[in-house]
Amino acid sequence: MNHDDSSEVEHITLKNPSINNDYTLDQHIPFLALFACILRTPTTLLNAIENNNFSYLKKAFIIALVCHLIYGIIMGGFSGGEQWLFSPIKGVFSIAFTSLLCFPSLYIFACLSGVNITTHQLAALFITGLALTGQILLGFLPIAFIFSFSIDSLHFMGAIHLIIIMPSLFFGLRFMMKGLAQFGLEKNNILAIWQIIFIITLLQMSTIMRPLIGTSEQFLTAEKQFFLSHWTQYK
Amino acid sequence: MNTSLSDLPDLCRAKPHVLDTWFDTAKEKTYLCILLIIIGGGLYGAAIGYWRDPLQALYIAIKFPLLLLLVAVGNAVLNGMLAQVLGLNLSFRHSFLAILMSFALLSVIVGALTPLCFFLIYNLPSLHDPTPQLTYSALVYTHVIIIAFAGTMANIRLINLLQHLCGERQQARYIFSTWLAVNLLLGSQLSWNLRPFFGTPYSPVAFFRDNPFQGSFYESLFNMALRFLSN
Repeated sequence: MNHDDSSEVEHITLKNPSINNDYTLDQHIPFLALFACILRTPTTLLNAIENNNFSYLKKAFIIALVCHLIYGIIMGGFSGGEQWLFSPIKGVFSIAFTSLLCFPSLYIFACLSGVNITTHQLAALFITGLALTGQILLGFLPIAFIFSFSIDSLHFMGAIHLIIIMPSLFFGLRFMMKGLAQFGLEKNNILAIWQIIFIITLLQMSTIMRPLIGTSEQFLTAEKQFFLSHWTQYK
Repeated sequence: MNTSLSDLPDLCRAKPHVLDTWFDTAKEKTYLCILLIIIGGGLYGAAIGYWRDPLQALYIAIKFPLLLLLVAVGNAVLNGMLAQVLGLNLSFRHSFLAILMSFALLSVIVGALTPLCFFLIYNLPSLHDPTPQLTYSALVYTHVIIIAFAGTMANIRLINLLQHLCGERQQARYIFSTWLAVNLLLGSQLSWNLRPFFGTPYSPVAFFRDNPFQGSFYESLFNMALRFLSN
């Protein structure tokens, strides 16, 4: 629920012996601790967001950015050359533009579902969800790496990336839905529609940003195409 | 004037006991709803017209909220009377506000989807494409789905509010059904008079069609049905 009072600092304890055990969820939290926290104790983050404690958010944003960039680099590795640079940039812009386009509808749909949340809290939830998505993508990195350097077919490589990105997104969106449940989400139906819209927009945005995997003489392809027709044009 | 856009989440959540308190400051909330209709409906109207022409976008940005406001104002007295005759002790001002809340919610939902509509238009082939009819159909169907979704959401919340005010499900449904019927009756005719909204790919950009008050929506439907049956 909304709290107008000043933010409460969350105290988190991580049990992994390889990491120091005790951290405070503020701007000084080490990246590795926040990384572990997003994966293992998301409730701590949800509580922090609920208490308007956004001090960790800058680092979560950096985690999201870096993870997506790293995954993009591996994506670009399929074609090599300038794609080593272009793919990560395009990948990050795809997710960033999609997020900007879908955020207003997310807020309204969340309110329609009975959620009592401020735009700042929702943005924090969204960024943390993207950080989790990025982290899962990072976990898939060895698989993506192996396939990138083994497969010859562009079509098949695209399918592999899709198989990797979809479950990663699933975890990010699931985190967001869990968070929204904490803010009073009553029925998930309307937000399920939003999730479908988000995924379709992301797929279309990645089509606009093409080539993400293959090569082209241009940075962006001028021709407009629907993502399904783009996928089916390769034989 | 004590209106604030911070009331927007309350409108979207539409908890009947919260919206009930809006009637205590009916004047302010009426202004708020009108503001939301103008902003949300205006943005969405611009998205409807943008594929045809930027000027058409401006025209529809004016006409879409205007249509909603004209329906609400035009039926204000009738809706108030229907509510009272069906046993709900609601003043004219309050029944007007209840209808406005529902239209404002519709406007907010379609307004929130406006960035995605512009994204869709960006991805569609332009008007000068060899087959604009296909693109046009895709665009119209998308808008129909969006408006139907927003309308359904807004109406569900209006029923819930009426049920809270009446305390009886059946009575609330009667009132809602009559409101919906008269609003559809006036709304469809006004949308006919204010056309073009979607327009057609080759029709000229215009605020009104020639002779906007000639013919009616229902007459046109009837003639179409006759033509269909005679063929």
